[in-house]
Amino acid sequence: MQVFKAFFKILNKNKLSMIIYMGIYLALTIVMTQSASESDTTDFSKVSMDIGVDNQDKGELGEALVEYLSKENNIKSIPKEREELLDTMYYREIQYVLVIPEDFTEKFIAGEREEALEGTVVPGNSTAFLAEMEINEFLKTLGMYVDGGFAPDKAAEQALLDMKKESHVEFLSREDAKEKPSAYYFFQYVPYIFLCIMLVSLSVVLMTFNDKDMDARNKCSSMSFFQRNLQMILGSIGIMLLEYVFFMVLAFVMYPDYMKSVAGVLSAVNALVYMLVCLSIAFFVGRLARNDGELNMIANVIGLSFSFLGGAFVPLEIMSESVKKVSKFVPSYWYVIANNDIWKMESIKDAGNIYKNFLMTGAFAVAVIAAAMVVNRLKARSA
Amino acid sequence: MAEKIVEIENLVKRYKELVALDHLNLTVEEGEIFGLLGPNGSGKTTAISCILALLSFDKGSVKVFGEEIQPDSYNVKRQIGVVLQNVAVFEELTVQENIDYFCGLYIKDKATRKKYVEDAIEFAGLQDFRKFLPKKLSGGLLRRLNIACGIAHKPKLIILDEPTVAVDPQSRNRILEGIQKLNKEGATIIYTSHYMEEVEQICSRIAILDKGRCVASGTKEELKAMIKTGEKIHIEVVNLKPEQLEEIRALQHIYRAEYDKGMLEIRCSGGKHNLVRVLDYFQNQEISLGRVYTELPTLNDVFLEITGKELRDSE
Repeated sequence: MQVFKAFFKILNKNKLSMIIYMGIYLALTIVMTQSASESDTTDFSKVSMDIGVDNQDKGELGEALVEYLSKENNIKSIPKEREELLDTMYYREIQYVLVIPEDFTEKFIAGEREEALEGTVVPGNSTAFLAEMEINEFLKTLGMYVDGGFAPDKAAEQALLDMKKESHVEFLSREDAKEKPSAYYFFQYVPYIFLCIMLVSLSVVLMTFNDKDMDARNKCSSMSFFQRNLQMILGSIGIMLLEYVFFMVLAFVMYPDYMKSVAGVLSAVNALVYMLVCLSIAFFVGRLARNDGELNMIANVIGLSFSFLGGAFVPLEIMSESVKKVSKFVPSYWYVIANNDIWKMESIKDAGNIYKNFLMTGAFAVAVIAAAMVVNRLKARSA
Repeated sequence: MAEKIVEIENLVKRYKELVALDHLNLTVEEGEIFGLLGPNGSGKTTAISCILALLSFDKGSVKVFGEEIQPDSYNVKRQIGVVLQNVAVFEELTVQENIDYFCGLYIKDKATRKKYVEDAIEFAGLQDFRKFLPKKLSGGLLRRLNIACGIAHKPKLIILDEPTVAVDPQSRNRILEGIQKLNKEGATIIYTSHYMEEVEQICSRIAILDKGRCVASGTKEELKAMIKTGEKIHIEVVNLKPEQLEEIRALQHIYRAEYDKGMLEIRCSGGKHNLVRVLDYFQNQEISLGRVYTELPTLNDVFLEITGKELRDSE
């Protein structure tokens, strides 16, 4: 088992770069998992603010503005004393202060709209800018009616009516409103991690063996072609399993409950099938790449393009149909589809499509291996 | 009669339009150090690759240990040690691990392998470097490691393809001595080089290749006897007259005499007492002499006369 042993000795000498890659990818995965879980949106509601209003306006428009703001916000009166007002703002009892001067309607009709209102945002409060946006939106609508010759009361009435219309917000799919398990994100980024790790480990080892001089030297020996290739295949599978087991143990440590469930088992199988694709790609690249620079370039190009196109980094739902058509030609697409189906699955009876996706991913592994063998043969002929 | 270890007959190898080997015929007998001499691109490495079944060929036959060599002639390959032109070792393995790996491709028994690896380390003088990675070795040590990897399994036939390229003189001498030692221990050696001094120093029989053909073969003496050039006589003379030069050219066994910048170079075509005859002439003519020295013909002279060009002109 000289070749097999040499495989792991070479791998061992390259462990530092592998550990660095693993560390970086792992940190990235954890950070991305955390941030994705925290920012996950499962419902939608309007933001409501506490707005302090001092309406001194003698006309109809100031009153209409207050009425509009009061629909989604809490309108509070402003303390008369300056010190008291500052305290209220400091303790965030109000987030925005609006003073409507007594000549607001008059000035607005006259077209002097720029400084018709006095608004103050509480420092450091980003939400308060929404209040200004709301006010501007209302005044814009109101201005259209006033400029169109509507009487102030009619203009206010029409503006309030128009502003009642709300944007319709809906989820692209009903299941997306459900909370995704953290393990979902762990498995979602697997296509990138697996591919890169396999390329920087297995491809490096294969590149060493496939070096022209080393290959010639090995061919001169009395070890048969079959024995040599068998040991190389066993070595490749060994490296693959080593890395796969490492990630699965990690998944078990991080998400024990999920991994013990049916979904966890299916996720592990999905990852294993994808690992086979990575093995075949690493095998192919190990045959093609001539040096470390080329290998790193290929690792990044394939890793990133597969992850983006396949939907690991960008949700498939927001991709255009034409991009999705292209995505179907990358294995990570079928992996991601399976990963999405697994967490949405209510019972094992729903797993039919998941198995189909496994087969599709597996088909890519077979296709890439076949391509690698053709390249092998062509290279052998041209030698 | 010694057993034929390698027999090459009418070997033709083409790379598209280029004929790398042109009806090459060679025989290597047991116990020889057989030198393949030729300039770069003469077909030495191609011939070696055919002997090792690394290359398929268009015509002819190659027999090693009496058997037509094929890529799967593993029993034959077991008896062959190979040191290829380019160093082929694993950068990630130590000196000892590298030798163990290559030895292990032939020797399965652990205990035997361990002993053989130690022998190879000792043979190459790498005892102090066994834990070193190849990148930490000098050029000479790296070449020695390459040789150790090739001979560790104690083969009967050792093929060394230009093993001393880019090696310092000390390491070169050590390598050449090692090759002679392996030969004394019973191994048959095929040694390719474009350094004629090395081939002259260690080879018992030599074949000169040019443009894929064997232009001459035999022992050093046989090769030198094939050519017209015998010894060369160099004499330092002041003011040699043209008529005197003509008289020297007319002396017996002298076929060329050139006078340039006070040095007279005389080429003799064999025969005995050439130097005495020339010195007698100078004494009779009362011509004063400076330094006098003679040179025997070299393989370069052989190559020059056979092919019309310098052996190392393509370096």
